[in-house]
Amino acid sequence: MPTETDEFKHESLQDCESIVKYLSAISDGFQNGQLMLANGDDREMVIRPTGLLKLDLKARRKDGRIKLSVKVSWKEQGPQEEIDATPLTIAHGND
Amino acid sequence: MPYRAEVDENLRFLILEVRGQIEGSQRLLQKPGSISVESFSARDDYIDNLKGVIESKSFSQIFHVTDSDKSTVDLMKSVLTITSNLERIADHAVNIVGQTQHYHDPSFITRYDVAPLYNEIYAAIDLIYDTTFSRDIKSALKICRSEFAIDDLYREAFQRILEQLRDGKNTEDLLTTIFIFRYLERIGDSLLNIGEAVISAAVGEKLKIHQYRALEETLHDLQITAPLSDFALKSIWETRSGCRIARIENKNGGELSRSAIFKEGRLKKLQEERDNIGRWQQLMPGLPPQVFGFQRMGENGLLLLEYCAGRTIKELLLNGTKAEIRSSLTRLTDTLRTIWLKTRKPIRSNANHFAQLLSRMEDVHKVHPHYNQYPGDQIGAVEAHSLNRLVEKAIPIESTLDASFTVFIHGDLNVDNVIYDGVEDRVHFIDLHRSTETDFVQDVAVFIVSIFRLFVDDPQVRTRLDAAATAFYEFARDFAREQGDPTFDARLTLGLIRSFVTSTRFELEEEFAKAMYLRAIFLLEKMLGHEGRPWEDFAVPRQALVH
Repeated sequence: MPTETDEFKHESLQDCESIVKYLSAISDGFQNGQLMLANGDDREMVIRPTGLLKLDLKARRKDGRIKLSVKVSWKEQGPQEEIDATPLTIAHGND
Repeated sequence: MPYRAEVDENLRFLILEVRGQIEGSQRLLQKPGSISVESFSARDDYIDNLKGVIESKSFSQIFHVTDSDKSTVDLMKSVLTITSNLERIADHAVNIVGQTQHYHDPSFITRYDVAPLYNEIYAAIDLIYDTTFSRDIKSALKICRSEFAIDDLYREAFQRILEQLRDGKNTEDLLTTIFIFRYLERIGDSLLNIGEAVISAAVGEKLKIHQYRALEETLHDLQITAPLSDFALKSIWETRSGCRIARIENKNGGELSRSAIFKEGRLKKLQEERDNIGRWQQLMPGLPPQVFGFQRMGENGLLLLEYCAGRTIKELLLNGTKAEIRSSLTRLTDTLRTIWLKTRKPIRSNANHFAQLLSRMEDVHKVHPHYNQYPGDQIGAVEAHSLNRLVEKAIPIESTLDASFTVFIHGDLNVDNVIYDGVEDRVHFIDLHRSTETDFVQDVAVFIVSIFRLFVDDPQVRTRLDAAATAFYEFARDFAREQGDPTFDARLTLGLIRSFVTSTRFELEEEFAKAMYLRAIFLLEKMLGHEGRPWEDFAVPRQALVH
């Protein structure tokens, strides 16, 4: 059984053809509302994009090298909120 | 040593010294050459010293005064104001003496009668010492009034000198004379500050004389005869709308059984508020505060209102229990439903959210100038437009989205402007100068965004706020459905865009402001993306209502 982890990191070299596979996988994750990330067989992280997603896109050219970073952040709908999750309903008036 | 004992003697000396300087200047005006100018400067140094001593004694005492000792703090403030104004008066006396050096004909000034002006000044100065400690408002008012008498005398002299200037003779000596009278007139200004400082200490609130008079008249009209010093003025705050608000309470629990709020601000705005309150009162008695009195003061007005008991929705959301929040929101939504149904008229209307947004853009850009500099981005085939561009594109959408009925709306229904009285289980609406007949989504959007913009760190409180915003949205949506209003979500989205953008002008915290600004852009893009399909099918993205 893989254990749940809160951090995941991946580094590799790709070319323009192969990188598309990765980007599509990420894209599919957003489409399906779920993306599984794993290091080896034992460490796994599942993220579920939901609600408003903050997108930070940065590109930088320096000394002949280009860096493009794509950052997506969002607030997780976690179990922690369920403590107070009986929704605040407003009783209907009798007017 | 008590504060008074500490400064008593210094203040007494300071007053005597200042009086001495003024007397000296008068003697010099009436008998040119009778006193040396150097002796004036020496005494002026002594006055500066005395002022410094009183200030340092006051500042060192400030650290020993507890909050409960408010009256000592009030006294200290007034002593400091009085001291600095006395020093200024002495400076004016020195300046008068300095002016006499410019005369070609040193006896020129004797052609003018300066005695009446000086007599007013002496009479006022002689009241200062006793009044400071007795906090006697009557004497303080006498000090204030000396300024008006001095002003009149100055104007007379000024007119006379102006006429003489037309002859073209003695021009330079006439100008010197104007300067001298001008310094005497400025002594009057300082005396007014002194009188006002005493009044402030007496009523525990910084009050200008014209406000004091209006307040006094209003209380008089209410047949309240107790002196104003029996009332405590509390919790003064400046509102964003530019009104000054203070609360008045009768210290002795006497004739004014209820506390009152007095609001000072632009006449037109307060008149509107008074008229709207009348309208609300007819609709639902007790919903708005009662109007106790109204006074004009030139371009300003003063409105004396009932102080509504209870807590604001904002305070309840932040500090109340879940049950309290639930009952306050239930009462609020019931009240809104009743009013909406009662005032519903089948008249098409448009809240013109974009016009409202554009009229406030300048203020938004003042606080966040970079919003205006963002030109829009392009990422491959995707274009991300600037807010301005998106608004431009969305304006035609708004014009096709009229509401099919109007209701009487609050006009600024934010969480600060609704008070819930838990004892009576009722709500009060305050700050009603914008009430009007229009699309009800305007109040709904303002209320939801006012919850969003409450800044809290505690995630549990945030969850509660988000739940309240969602519940309020659902209430309004249900009302819309019941009324057969299919474009509610689309119109509400326009209102949310407007409120998110305009709220950034009150938010200096950059990240927080950005959260609202980006939400507005997100909602605009959603609307533009929907264009071409029926607006009845548009649903407000719920996640944009919450954090």
